Amino acid sequence: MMDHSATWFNLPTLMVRSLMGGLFWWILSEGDPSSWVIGLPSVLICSLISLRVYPPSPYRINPIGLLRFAGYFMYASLIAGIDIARRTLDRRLPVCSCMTDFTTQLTGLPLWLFMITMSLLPGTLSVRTTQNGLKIHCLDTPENIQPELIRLENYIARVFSLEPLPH
Amino acid sequence: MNSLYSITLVILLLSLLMGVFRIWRGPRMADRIMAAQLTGSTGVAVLLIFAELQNQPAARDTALVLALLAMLVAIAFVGRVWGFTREKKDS
Amino acid sequence: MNLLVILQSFLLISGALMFCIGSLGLIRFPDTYTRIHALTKADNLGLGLIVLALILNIESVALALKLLLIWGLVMIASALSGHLVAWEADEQCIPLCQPGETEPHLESENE
Repeated sequence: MMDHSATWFNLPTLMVRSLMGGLFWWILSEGDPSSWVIGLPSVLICSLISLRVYPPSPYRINPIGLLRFAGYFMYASLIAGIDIARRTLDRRLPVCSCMTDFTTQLTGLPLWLFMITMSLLPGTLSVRTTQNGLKIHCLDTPENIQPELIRLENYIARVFSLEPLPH
Repeated sequence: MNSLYSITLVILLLSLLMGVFRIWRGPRMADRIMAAQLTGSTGVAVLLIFAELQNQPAARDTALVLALLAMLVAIAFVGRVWGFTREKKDS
Repeated sequence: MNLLVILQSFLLISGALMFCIGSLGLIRFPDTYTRIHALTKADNLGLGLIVLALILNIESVALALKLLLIWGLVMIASALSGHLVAWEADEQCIPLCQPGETEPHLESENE
């Protein structure tokens, strides 16, 4: 029994998850100190269960990479909204509906983040995963889209401290 | 400031009305689901402004729940309702 | 009229107009895929601008973070459901359609 518990119990991960959970509770309760009577036990129990169900993630998050990604994302989603406004308000409706493929080495959580953020960036929408990459719908010609996607891919690789990806 | 919030609310409701037009028009289920998604995110914006305008902090929690529900509706719709009609068509 | 109020009004009104542009795109764009583009991107930016405007007159840090959390949640929700709807549309072979063309109708889906 002790041996079994030793395989999933991991104190540093538990502490990180409890801190995240505590932050989440603090935000949800709008900083009300009396709510910790319920909050503290809930956070601890949830962190323990999450550790039992999900083992520590193999990814190393790079804080600087994460900040740079967040900055790029904010800027690019502002551009995306302006781009949509420009296309919608133009009387000629300059939209080109087409599909393109994008090969990527990303898998798992980084791939998921890539697909989700891509749908909020200018002119791209992830449709499905294919054998060696993604099928993407774009609002513009595919040639204009590719360099933007490679840029986003590199930002995400840096968030998860991955090696620069070949293309 | 309050009149500004009211103007914003009116514009948001106008945007909802335009979304209703797409639900009516269709033509496909996908377009209707997207219009329902619009209702979700506009609803969140309306509730956040309402919380400020009427000084009702609980409306923010409602907005949080609405955001979660909008996501669940889309997932459930794609998974169950739409997938079901496809199976019917195939057989 | 101080500077903060002017900034707030600008953010609120442009955020609400962004929602309108999203809905207009939903009406004007030629096919299902392009409509998903219009809606997810415009709504994300619209809500972001409104949340920023509301944060400007909030003193509590926790409350400001809560508004940002709601924005993040809506962002994930709209990106995820946009992706799911696009995936299902592709699965059903819903055709692409360029501006000016009339969208081919599926009889079976219109009852």
